[in-house]
Amino acid sequence: MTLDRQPILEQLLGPEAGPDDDALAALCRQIDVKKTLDGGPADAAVVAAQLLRRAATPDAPDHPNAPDHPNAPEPFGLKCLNSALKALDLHDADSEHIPALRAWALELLDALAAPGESPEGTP
Amino acid sequence: MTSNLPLTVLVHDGPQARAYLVRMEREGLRPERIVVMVADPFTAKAKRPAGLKNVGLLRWAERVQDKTNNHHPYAIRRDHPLLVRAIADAMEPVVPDPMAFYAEMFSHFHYERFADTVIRLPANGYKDPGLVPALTALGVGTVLFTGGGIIPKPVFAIPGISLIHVHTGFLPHVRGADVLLWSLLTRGRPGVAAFFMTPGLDDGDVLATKELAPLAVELPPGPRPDDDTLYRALFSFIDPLIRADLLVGDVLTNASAVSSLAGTPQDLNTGVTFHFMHATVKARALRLLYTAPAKSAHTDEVEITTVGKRGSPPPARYQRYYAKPSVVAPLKLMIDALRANSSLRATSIHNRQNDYNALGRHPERRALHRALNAQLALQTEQWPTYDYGEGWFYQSSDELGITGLRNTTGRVQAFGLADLVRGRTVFEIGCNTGFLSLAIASSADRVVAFELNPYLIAIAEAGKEFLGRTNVAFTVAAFEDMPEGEHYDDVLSFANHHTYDGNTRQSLSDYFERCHAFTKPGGRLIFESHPPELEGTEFHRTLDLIERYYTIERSEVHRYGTFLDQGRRFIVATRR
Repeated sequence: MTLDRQPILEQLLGPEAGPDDDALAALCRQIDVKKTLDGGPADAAVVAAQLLRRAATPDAPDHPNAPDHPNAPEPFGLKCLNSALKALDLHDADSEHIPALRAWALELLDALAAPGESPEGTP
Repeated sequence: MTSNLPLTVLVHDGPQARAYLVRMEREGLRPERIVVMVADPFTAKAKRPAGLKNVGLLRWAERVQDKTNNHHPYAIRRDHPLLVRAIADAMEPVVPDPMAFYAEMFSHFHYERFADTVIRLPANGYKDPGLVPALTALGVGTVLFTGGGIIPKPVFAIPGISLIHVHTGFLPHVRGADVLLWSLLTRGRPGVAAFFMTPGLDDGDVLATKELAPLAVELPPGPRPDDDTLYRALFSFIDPLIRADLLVGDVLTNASAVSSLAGTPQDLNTGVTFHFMHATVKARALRLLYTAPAKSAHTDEVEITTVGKRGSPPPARYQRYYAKPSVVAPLKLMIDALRANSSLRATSIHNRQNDYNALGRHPERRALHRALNAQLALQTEQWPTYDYGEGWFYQSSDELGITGLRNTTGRVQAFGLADLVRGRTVFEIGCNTGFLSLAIASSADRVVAFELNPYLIAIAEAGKEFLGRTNVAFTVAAFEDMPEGEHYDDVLSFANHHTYDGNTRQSLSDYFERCHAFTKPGGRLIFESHPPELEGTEFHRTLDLIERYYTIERSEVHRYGTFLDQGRRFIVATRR
């Protein structure tokens, strides 16, 4: 995570650790299936920030969902990133932080899903 | 040998169901019955039960459903034949001859071909109230699900039913939606799994699962198709074949295997359930799957423009006239012919005008002519050498309603080609649009033809499909690069021993040596020269080289056809 995201995260999320993976998965499902967020525009930025923070934090290597190749992107992180982009689309331009969050999402996507880093030789 | 499977295929018509059945047939497997769900166009959108009590209405509704559910593969095959060929090349490791596979899926497809019992069931999806009673009455056991929605709980409660689904994700790691793209993004390769369905999401006992070799489709030269087209092509031509491969290769291998299917419980704590991709993420995954052409100087910025080379009338300008009948088109063509700056162009435009007018009597050819013209438009912009890119047809085909600068029917008749190749294997060098190969295929045993220009081969493939010729195989290749190995009864060298497009990389001597290498012992070279003015005074050298490898049996000049047909020497020679 680059340092300039930190003030936005602190402003949006505060000092708490944030939801666990099960809660984030439920948020992803809500965004994908219901295509809305309970709290409207402000909630979109908060939820996107939570999801992006998770996307920027790879699974521990012994986590059951961790990729089986060191160059493979972390699946749950990509899922969160995907839902964060959708959350930002739900309430576009209704929050001052949305452009910065979207830019962060694209940076993360570049880092997580860089072409040419496909794992070779995995089962 | 055919094996009858104790299996009901519950069809939601589309690429998935069709790929399963075509693959089963290729492996000699026939399901006990096929139940085709037919949506009622009058009630489906309102989510009311299907009616369609009348047999005629049911047939009509099935045709409507075919056009709706298979719209994208039909459109992509028509508008992007080179994309389909590129995908087929990438899919060769999954299924032999994917182009033929696609033709079986999308040309003259009939469910009756794949099972003795085919039942058409009016049903607006799996929630239609008529579905459960009908399946219960049939006493279905093992049922193959073919997509089209979520199965509601009452279907699972049908006595004795067990539903098999094939999912393009490696279980238990990849569940959910868009899983083929998620697999490429997160695991670098496609995965696939067959499992018993449950009311949950992709959580049933697994029958088989595997990951495939990394998959990449090298796009053809030219503008990159938009992401919507590439995404739809994925679900039309890639995803169904991957599913069918696992299903038929690892699960439904024979009747006893189907009777004793047993799954392995998944570790439900492992894996990620993915949702549909956001457009930005999808674009990234599609870039991984569809790669830029490696050998072309063309870039994504190349687009079909409305300005042709050397002032020729560009076929792109005419493309819109092929979507539906136009009263303006004949007038436009007539004016363009009058304005043409050479008699050759004027003739070509005049030919196009006549062919266009004939579409009024042959409306079944309109979609074909549209697809062929799209290829002419592409090659006008994209193919760098010689004049086949100027927007006209060189060869004619009476069967396809195309008038070119060479008279194919006259050529076949003058040389007696149909009788010459009857029942024989034929190898045609530099087949152009393949119209001659298609014309002689009705009497030949088998024709293998190749051509360097991929746009001409795309036209040949479209013509082959339209005519339903199954004994012709077209390949994009240079003669110099064709692998030796198979030998043919007849090798056709029709005005190809030297070309003036700069694409030939071998000497005249090498050319005939290679012809000889492809000819069976006792087989023949069937040869046509260029016009006399192009052969010039050195033609005796060509004859000497032919005689080095063959004994000339016939040598004659025919008067037939167009001015380009006239005066060419026709030779039949037996291999030494």
